[in-house]
Amino acid sequence: MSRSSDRFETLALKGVGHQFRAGGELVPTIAGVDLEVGRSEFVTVVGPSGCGKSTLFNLAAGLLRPTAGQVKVNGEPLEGTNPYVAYMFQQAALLEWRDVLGNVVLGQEFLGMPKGEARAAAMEGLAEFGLSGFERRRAWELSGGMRQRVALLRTYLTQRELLLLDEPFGALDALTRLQMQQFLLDRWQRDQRTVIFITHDVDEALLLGDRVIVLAPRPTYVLATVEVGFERPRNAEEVLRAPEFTELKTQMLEMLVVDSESEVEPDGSANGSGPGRPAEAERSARQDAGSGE
Amino acid sequence: MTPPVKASRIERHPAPEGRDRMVAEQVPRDGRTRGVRRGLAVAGIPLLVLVVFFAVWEFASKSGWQPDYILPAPSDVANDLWKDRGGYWDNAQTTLTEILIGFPIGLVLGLVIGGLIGMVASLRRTAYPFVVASQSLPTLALAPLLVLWFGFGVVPKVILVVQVVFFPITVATVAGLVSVPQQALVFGRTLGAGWWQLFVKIRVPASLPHVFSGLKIAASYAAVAAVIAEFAGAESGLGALMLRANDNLQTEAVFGALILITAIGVGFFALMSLLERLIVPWHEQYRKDGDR
Repeated sequence: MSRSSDRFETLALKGVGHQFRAGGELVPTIAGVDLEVGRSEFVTVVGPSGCGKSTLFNLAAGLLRPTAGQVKVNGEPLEGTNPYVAYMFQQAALLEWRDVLGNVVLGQEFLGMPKGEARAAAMEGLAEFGLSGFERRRAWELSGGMRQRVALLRTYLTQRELLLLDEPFGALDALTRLQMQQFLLDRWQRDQRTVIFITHDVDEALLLGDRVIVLAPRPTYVLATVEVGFERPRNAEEVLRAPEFTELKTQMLEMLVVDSESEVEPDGSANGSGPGRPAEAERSARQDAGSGE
Repeated sequence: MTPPVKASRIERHPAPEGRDRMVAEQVPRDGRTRGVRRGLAVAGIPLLVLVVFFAVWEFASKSGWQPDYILPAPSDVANDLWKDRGGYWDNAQTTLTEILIGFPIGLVLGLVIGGLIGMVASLRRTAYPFVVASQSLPTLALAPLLVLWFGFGVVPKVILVVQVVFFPITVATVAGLVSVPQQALVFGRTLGAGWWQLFVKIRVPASLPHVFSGLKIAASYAAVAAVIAEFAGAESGLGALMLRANDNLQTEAVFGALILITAIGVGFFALMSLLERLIVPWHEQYRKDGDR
């Protein structure tokens, strides 16, 4: 653990590369990534499925060591796990033997917070996240959106300052996803904790992030950085309607499709040429789920 | 790039009258009332089959189709069970003792070995094959050898019970530990959770449903193993009683012992199912209502 400071200031990936050994063969996942995220930034990361986004998170969390380059936290090389990080995943990863309240306090339990204190904070959080009255429910009794809210609350309650959200809304239907995006925007506004948010959805990346990191296919590197200028607090409907939004989205899709040498059309087969696959987004979501460690 | 547009428009429709009241009337939350009737229907059919089966059997036996020493009537078997209940009980006690000693030993052994194999990846490659091989030993063939080594007492029976009980529990424990939700572990690790915390709070509860499916299999094997061990040589026990009765052409006693052995097996299975409901209630529930 780095004890340089009690407060999270920066996370920096400097020339970070990673490869793993599979059956005597070296598989490169990350060719080289330079990235700096400062306090209270909301950074989204998009890239083709299987490009190593989740590996990048594990490196930032200190669960994996880079095979090249350095991960620095507050300017110091990261040793052990990153003490500022809390995770959230696409599958809510709720424990089925615990009720909602039990799931929500899990992070605090791991952090060794006294039970009463954890509970009080949890009850407050449940109210804030619109989950009051569901304390005793089990995960399987909840809708997909509620499950993700429970998981998000659990991550928030750790009071960690750097939130790594790994496609948290990837498995939700479009409407629920939009609601959750607005919810996250509003929630972020309140204490502006640092968020790094992985997604395969360009709309989501632009809607949520101050900055979008576009990744190349595996072995990955940063293909582009998009500064997103929409004022905060953001309203999802307004942002999605803005002409700039459409403009940015078009450019990004072109970049992702052309520069990533993917044979997949972004919007099905608009001109009839090329093997357009409208189901691609859905399928890549499932693939990511499978490879997520 | 813009597709040709015909006049598109959205037309909104009003809600039908009385809709608000409809929404308030909710579908019954749990299907318990329905469940009772359904339960009767489910239990009713096997019961009917059983009744018909015994009726045909009774008739076949009493009609003189087969002599009593080949096929005693169910009523004769029941009569014998009642008349000689003291003798049956003595023998059943021996068999039950063998199971009650062997089962817990097998359980602990299975949990420990399964736990080690499940937690230590290198053991999964080195030790697991031996565990599997141990189960390929023909139990029946092992019994006479055990009697030769350990005599006619309880010991060889207990060993055999342990041998059949520990395996399904080992396999189930390994399966449970391997299937632990990885993301919950990662969540814990980033927060600095220690090995023990993750083990107690995540790994153990996550693998319990698997362990119970192993327990249920083990419970149904245990009685069979005890009886087979008794066949190889025993002074008392339901298996010994069966052999003696068979030699003396007391076929109704053979059936009587058979019924008791089955009852013990079913009883143990039911006990495990009950414990499962009490200890891992989320599991069954999860499978019933879960949509994932």
